[in-house]
Amino acid sequence: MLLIVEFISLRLLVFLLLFRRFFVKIGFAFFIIQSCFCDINSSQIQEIWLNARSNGYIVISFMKKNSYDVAIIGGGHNGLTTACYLAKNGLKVIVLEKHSYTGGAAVSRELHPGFTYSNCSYVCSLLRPEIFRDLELSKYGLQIIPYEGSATMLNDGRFYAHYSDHDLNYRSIAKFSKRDAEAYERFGRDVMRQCKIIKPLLKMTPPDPTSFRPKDIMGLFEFAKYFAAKDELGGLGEKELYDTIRFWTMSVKDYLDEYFESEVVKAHLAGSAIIGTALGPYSPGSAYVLLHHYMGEVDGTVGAWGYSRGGMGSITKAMSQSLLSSGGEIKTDAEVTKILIKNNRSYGVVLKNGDEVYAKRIVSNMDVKRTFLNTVEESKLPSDFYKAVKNFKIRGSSGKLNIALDDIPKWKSIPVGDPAGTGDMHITQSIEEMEGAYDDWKNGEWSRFPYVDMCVPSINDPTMAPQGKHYMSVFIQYVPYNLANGGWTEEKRLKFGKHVMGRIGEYSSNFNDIVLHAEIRSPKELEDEVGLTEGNIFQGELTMDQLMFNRPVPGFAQYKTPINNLYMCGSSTHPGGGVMGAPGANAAREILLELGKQSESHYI
Amino acid sequence: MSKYDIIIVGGGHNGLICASYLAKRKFKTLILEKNTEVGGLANCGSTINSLSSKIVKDLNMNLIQSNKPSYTVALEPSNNHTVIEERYNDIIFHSTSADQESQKQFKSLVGKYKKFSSSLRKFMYNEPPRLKSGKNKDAWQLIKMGWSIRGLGKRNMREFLRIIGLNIADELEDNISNDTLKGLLAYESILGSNLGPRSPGTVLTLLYKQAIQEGLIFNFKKYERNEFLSSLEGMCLNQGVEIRKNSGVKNIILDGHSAKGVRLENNEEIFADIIISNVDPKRTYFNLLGTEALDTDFIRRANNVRAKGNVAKLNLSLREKPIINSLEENKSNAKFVYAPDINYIENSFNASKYNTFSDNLCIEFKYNENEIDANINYVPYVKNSTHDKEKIIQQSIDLLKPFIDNLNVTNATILTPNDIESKFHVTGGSWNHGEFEIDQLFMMRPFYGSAQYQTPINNLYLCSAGTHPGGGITGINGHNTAKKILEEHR
Repeated sequence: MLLIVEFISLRLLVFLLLFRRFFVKIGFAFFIIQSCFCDINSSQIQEIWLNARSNGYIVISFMKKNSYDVAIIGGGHNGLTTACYLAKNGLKVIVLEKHSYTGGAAVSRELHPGFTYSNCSYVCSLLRPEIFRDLELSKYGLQIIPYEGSATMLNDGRFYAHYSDHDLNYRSIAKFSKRDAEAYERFGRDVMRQCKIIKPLLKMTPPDPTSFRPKDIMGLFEFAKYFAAKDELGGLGEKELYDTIRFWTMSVKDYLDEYFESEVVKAHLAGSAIIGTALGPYSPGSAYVLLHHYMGEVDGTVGAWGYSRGGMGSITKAMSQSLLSSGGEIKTDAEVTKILIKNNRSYGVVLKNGDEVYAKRIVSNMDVKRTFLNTVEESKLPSDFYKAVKNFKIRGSSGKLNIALDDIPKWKSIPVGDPAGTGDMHITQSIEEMEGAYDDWKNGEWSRFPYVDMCVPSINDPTMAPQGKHYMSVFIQYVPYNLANGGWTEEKRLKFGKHVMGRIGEYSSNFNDIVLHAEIRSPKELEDEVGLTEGNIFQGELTMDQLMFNRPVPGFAQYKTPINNLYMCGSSTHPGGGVMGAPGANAAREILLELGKQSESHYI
Repeated sequence: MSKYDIIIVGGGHNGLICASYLAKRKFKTLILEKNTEVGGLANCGSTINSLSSKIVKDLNMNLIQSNKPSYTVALEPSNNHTVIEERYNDIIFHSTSADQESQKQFKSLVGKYKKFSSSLRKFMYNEPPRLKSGKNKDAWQLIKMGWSIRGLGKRNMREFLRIIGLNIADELEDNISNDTLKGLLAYESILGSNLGPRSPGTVLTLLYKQAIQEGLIFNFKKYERNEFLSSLEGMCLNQGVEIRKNSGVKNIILDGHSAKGVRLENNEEIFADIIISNVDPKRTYFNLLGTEALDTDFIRRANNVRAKGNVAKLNLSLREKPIINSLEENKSNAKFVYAPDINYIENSFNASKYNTFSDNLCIEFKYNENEIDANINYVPYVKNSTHDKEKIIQQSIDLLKPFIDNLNVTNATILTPNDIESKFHVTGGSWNHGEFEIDQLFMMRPFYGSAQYQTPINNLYLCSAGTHPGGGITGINGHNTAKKILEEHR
């Protein structure tokens, strides 16, 4: 066999080996050797490469040193998940991350000396257990500490406590309403059933209902079969089918009204339905968001939430370790500014410093807007698709405060040592107040009475703060991205922080005196740092028009894009946001299927 | 004690239409109406806009359709009103502040909806299939439904599946640039519902309305109300239907698990083989039937039906015929809408969520000589309470003043949803006997266990707007119930 070495430029060494297809078939090899010693640039190589291919040659190229099987843009938890699965299956993978650290929105950062902040996402539940096992995250140091309770504080000095212990919880609800305590049994059962129903759908590549391709027809068939399974076989009865449709389309207020009478019980449960969305608790479709926050599990307990030891960054750190040990590469400080596309085929990316990285397949972990509006030229996209991406709904509605405390915060209502004080604590009075907060957001203002979801992870996880001191994470709903009257300024950001801390201060006896440092983040900061368009934590609204086969764009919900060899793996794709990893794992499965690789894993 | 084949409780338009279909097939039918006049909520409309033409044809109704062109006028504070006329395949702009581009966008959007709604239309005249009954008939219906949507073509089907869950505000903001036109279309999609333009599902509401109104959104004034009701009543009487007015039904008499008759408020008992309730589902189950006959899960579901009226009816008598500023005289046969933009409507909706009405009300009106007949949005139904009606009237007059210089009100009457509830005995004063939201549509209308016009009680059927396909004076509910009964009792 003859190989001719080609020098294309001084810095590049390229082997081009071209097989004439016909001769391959009959068992002979015929080599066409092209050699040139002149200096040509990379796009010319591509041109030669593509010409050869279109002329019927099979091209096996041992391209430049920085050529990969797959390049992944963005080192968030989904990008890393995709990378891990691909690397485990023998592909040469590189993850390109713009920051000096990986993790995206699941990071631990020391922004005040001695304190570790989970400065974006702050609690963990949704991460699929199969991914946990496949990527051997425990081996790389990931530990999830479930918490035992949560609470909602009222301004009259009372609080509602929610415990993972069944009997404790019953008694706690019964303090407000005996009837609701009974109803909670029914509610819990119904929601668990819905979680069970949705679980297999998370792992599914959504079939395209408009397509007649065998794959889609089979997918739809599977889907129908799943719903058509007889009751006795663990399928859904007719009643449950309707209940599922209702749960997916109703407003959380209407849904909870069907079970409970006590305002505070409803308010406590409704919180999960508004976190991160541009919907109010009265908006149809918000009940689905509740489900989205319930379908996770910690240690096999469905619906439970926990802290990741060492902050949320531990998840992505473990993923990075897993990737490196499977032979993948991570390149930090490598912001991608452009995806290289020729003849509707992507072949590489351009980094901010001008370097180019080539790969046979490009996977974008950025949200769909950032991917196609910022890094792909408009002229390379079909106009329909471009318009659909432009109209993709991705709205910032959440703010975050990360606070270093000198002492443990003492609450006026929750006694020290009560397990309810170790989980997430909410400040809200009623669903109506939450809806009012949403109305303010619609008018372009931050909520006068925001829904506050805070937790002190350092109580359960001492690694987060120095001895005796504490780290507190505060999530605020709603905060607009486009602030009325001139948008965000430094002054307004600080004013916003004060506003929220003022609200917390009203519920604590010592909070105002123990604040050492606070990081205040509006959706703007979230966008600038993590790269989530408009600071939307789900990479796109979780509404019916953007779920399943509509996510992110109808017809392109199978992790593929109109550009060949360009894929999406971020939360913009099915099944959506949260530190879940499912979009990443699903994207990896699609790529492996295309390559004809069989994967031995729990998830795929 | 006389015995009938069929008793219909409630002489609303659906009850009357159902009766005509049944009487045509020689069923001895009795209609019991609580009020002094039949017609129910149809008495609230000044014109009957959306009556199904199939029913007019089936029943040989002798009605004269107005052939005057009907206009819709979107009022603008600048007095640069938008006047549109909808014909079967086009929308004509007679005057507008919107530029050519916006007009084109508006037309193409309405055209798109028309196409989509036509695929829904085919299912309005059938009983909705059950999702998992195990019967071939239902499965076949579902396949047909899917196929009809697929028939839109790949691109359209994708768009269809996307927008049915979308809110109208986003859809309009993506497609139309002119505020007035956005306001107009947003108003049409929220009218009569308990949703704001930014509530998901409002596109579906619009499509659904369009589907039951034969593809039209702005074309109205098909029949005069009085003419329609008297003709309907006359037709029933001609066919031998007995109509008893001032005969409120106290309860339905059961024999085991079957309905066998009704007891009137004066304790008279009337027996029949089949009872059809044209009363809204909640009232049927809780007032007429009583919970003893129903199981807990069913009661819970019945209790959870959402029906909250949001529209107040306002009648203004004027000293003289109103003249709308800067509008040609010949355009006066119009529906006038004041809902200037999406945010205005949304703000109006915000107040209604907290059971109060906003300073910015939306108004829709028509006038005939010196009578103005208006719908005021959003004036929510309030439980055990009432609104300051004088304030609503004053606010509405203030809204109209900038557009009508010679507005001299001599008398004003208002029906809030609470009044509608007590006058017409409709739960929540809701036009539709239940919200138009996905969880209360098609096979889930009014709720699981009570859809398909059936009830858990043998021989008791529903034919009110609370059933598929829902509210509006279409008569389709009555038609569908009659069809079902004729199939079952051939």
